[in-house]
Amino acid sequence: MMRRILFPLLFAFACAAQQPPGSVRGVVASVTGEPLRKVQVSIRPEVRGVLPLIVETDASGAFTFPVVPPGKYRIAAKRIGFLEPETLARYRSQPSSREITVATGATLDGVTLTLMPHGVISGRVTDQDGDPVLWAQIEAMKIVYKRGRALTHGKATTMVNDLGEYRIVGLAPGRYTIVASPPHDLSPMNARARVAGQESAVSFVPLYFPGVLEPSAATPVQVEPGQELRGIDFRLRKEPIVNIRGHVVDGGGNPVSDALVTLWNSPFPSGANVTSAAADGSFLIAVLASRSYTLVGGSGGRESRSFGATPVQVGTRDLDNVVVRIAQSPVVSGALRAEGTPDLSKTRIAMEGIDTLQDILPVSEPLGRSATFRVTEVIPGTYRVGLLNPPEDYYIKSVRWNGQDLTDKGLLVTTGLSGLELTLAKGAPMARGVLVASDGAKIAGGRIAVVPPPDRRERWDLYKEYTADQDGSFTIRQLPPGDYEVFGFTPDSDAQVENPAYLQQIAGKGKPIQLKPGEQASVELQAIE
Amino acid sequence: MIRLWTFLLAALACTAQEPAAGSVRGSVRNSVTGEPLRKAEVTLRSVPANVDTRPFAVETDASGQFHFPSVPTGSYLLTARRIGFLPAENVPRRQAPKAVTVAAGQEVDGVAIELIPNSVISGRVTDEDGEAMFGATVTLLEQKFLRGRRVLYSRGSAAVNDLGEYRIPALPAGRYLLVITAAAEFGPSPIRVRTPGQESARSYVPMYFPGVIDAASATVLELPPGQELRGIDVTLRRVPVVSVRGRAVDVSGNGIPNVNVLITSAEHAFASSLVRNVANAGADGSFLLTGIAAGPYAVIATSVAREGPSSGVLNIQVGSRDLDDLLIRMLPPVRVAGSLKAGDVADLAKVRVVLDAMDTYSDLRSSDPAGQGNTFLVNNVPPGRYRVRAEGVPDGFYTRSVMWNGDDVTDKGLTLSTSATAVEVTLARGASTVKGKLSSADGSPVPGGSVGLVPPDEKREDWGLYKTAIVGVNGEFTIRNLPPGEYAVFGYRPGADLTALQDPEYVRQVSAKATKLKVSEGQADTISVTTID
Repeated sequence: MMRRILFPLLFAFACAAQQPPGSVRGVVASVTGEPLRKVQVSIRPEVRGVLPLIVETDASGAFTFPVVPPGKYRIAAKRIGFLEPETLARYRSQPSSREITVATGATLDGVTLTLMPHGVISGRVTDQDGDPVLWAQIEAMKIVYKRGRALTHGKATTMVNDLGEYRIVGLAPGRYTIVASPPHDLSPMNARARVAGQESAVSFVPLYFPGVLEPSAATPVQVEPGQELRGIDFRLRKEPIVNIRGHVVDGGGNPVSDALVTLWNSPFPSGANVTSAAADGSFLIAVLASRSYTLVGGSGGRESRSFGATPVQVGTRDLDNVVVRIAQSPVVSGALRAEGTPDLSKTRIAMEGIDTLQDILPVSEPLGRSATFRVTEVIPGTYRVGLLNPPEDYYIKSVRWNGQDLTDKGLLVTTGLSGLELTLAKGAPMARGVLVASDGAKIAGGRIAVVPPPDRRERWDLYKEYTADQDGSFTIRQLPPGDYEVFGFTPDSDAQVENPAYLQQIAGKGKPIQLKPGEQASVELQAIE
Repeated sequence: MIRLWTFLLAALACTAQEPAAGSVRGSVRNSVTGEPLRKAEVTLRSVPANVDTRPFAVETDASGQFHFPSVPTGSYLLTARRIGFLPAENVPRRQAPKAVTVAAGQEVDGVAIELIPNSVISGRVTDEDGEAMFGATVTLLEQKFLRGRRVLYSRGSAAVNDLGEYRIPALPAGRYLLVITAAAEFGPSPIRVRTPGQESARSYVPMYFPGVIDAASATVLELPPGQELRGIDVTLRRVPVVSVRGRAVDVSGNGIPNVNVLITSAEHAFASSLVRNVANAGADGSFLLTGIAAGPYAVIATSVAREGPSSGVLNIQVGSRDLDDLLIRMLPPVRVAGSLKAGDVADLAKVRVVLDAMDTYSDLRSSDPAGQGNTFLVNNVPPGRYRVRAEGVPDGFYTRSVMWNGDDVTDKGLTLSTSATAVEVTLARGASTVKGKLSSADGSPVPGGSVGLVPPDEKREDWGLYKTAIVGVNGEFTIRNLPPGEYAVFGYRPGADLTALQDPEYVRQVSAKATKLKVSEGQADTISVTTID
């Protein structure tokens, strides 16, 4: 009895006692064809709670599971330094895992599994004299453009050693932006006081390859499977920095102790842009001199979040006594009108900031049968009012408040407001299409991006992305009527249509499309390769 | 220019309308080679520290010189740091900040700062076939003694890269062991299918340089300051391993749920972060530990529940076969209560009673201060044998005797299986203060050095009697509240590890160099000690 609990796998073997077991044999190879030794191969039964069995490949890449109870399994290969090739379109037919069925008493032979070697980026990090910068941090990032701005997402990190060398391993193929940040001890936050006689402090600051301050000016590097990209070197330099000191206070002017202060518009990687206020509400954050920033204070749990934003213009001297006032954010309420009786059980009102990038999207509760809504936690700013999970076949016809039509220009929220009127119209436009390659082959899993025409490129709410299904087919929906441009990409493309510079590059390579109320358009799209 | 410094001068502004200033000059050198260090950051911090006054900082020039041209009068601490050299906080005594006082118009010159260069260990880790062991972790261990038991503390670690190389930079000089653990995916697991024809399971287990599985036979690496120890290569190999199964049970033999079980070498302890073989027992107290190589072990069960049995230990010898059906008996914790006596005069309100485990796997348990009632209570004590002593005793007192149930348990310890009440701890006047001087073999004083006292053999495990003292700037030291008895005194240069004195083997090796000390009741003594090197 006890053993059963310890070894759920014995349960599987117990079944085997009733039916003669089968066996499974096969080979694991790299995408380049050579057999791989020491690969961990597991077979995991479909039955829940039953542990997998694991064997290792020998020097010729072969593996054998001598005793496997009949049944359905997922067989998967894993080895440190290798990745799943099926994540890339070109290796989709050479997966690292498969479904298998083991028949009673039979040997399933010739199971082939494939692994893709990782990519490596290496280089040196020195200071301006060429001396190694021990403990500098290197991050390989993906830069994602959202509403025209570059946002960085860390993918892999490593530290620089005492020789100034670094090596980032385990990278999946793709384009990476590399950033080198000074060691904690030498970072802007820990910059010692100014050197006697100098006006502003200087500090090592994060640099993006090839040595630029702004992520948008960085040159991404392309990593291929099994490739080592050498010589991605950095020469860290000191730049003028200033400290911003201040307090986070509530509406009554009392210090808020548990607040986080986040810096917007900073080119530093995200971790360097957040600081937590002390018990007395005081905070200190180091920034590049001679720029403008927005300090956003936030505090509280899910129920009662408070926010506040303070723009600051920074020169070459420290800024003291900056007050970030946070308050329970305004509430926006209103009513929804619609033709007919749409199913609103899952539909929520969402307010997407136009002039602010925020970490949360203020949304209402699902509307259900109620025609009224309330959206809480709306930080002051301008918003486009939209729908999450809009009812089938409906679109927003107009957004009105105080007698004005705000559908295009958005709603300016300064304090709480009520009486917002949303009108839904029936007959949401739709378009169907097929994504093909230049040779006419349909592209399963391809990416489709719909963008507004050049004169409305700032309407970030009109950008939408879709993924093609197994047959390369896709459906464009949940967009209001109007003119658009459609672009197609391969599944592993790094294309960023919300990067205006990129959109310029691919100008003319898309297809114009007109979405009309109650109509279904169709489009044949060739992927940009 | 003074205007720009306003924020620095805020504190001084209240004492002087126009602050007078002096200057500070000096140099920074490499402590090993004596070479001047360029690009060292020198920081001048005013004392007492004031939140409003951020320190001044300058960099040394190409000849290692620094100059603070205009320093407001006052007292300062000077420190230096540089990439490639140990940060001051890692070597407090060797690299203590220099105190500097600047008077009006004074030009302080010739302040000399030495920085200790980092040491490095590097090498390769491969498997039996010479292939890189990518993803393995190399951990550097420092060996210390804690109440007589060898404990290995992690002092740094590095990952083995895809080429099989590792490099641990920025290390202080010292004596280290190196242990390597394979990537988790190569770890032992009960679901691994044995290759047909294989008798026992084989798995990678943590391996010490130069390729052994027990810490006791590992080679101690001597790492000198500012040097790189290259070629510290290890070949990991799979060794036969077994599984250990059993149950954690209470006194009536019923399984105990929510128990953590760990297995650790019986010969040495790891700082907890290094213990890898941990299992969570099932609802019936059953547990499974896998990948255990042959050797002596202690299996320790600890309950996370707030009530009920708290801990249990089982010593086992692992051979070439799986061990099944082990039973770890877990006993409920007990309480120890009693009173303190010390004649009529002494104020005992601040005295605490400490239970010092005499069996290896527990630690120290302490009561709250006795307060006015002169009573004490120690809660949550795992059953076992404990030596009882008082700490924070008034000057000149020591723990003379501990009585329980009419039995003298001062030396033999209090054996607890159930709670004990009315334990009487008697303090007595008669502890001595010993003063001394530490000199090196050539007779010169050793400021910053240290001395350690070791009790005689029969009291070897009375860890409360191991006393240490740091030698002051004048080369003198003081040890207070020493109970009467005979001691061996050992003297060291700065930076020595005095926990080694709890290792009987080490004490035997150096015993000839000890200074003998006989402490009679209440008698002040003065001794002269020579460093043992």
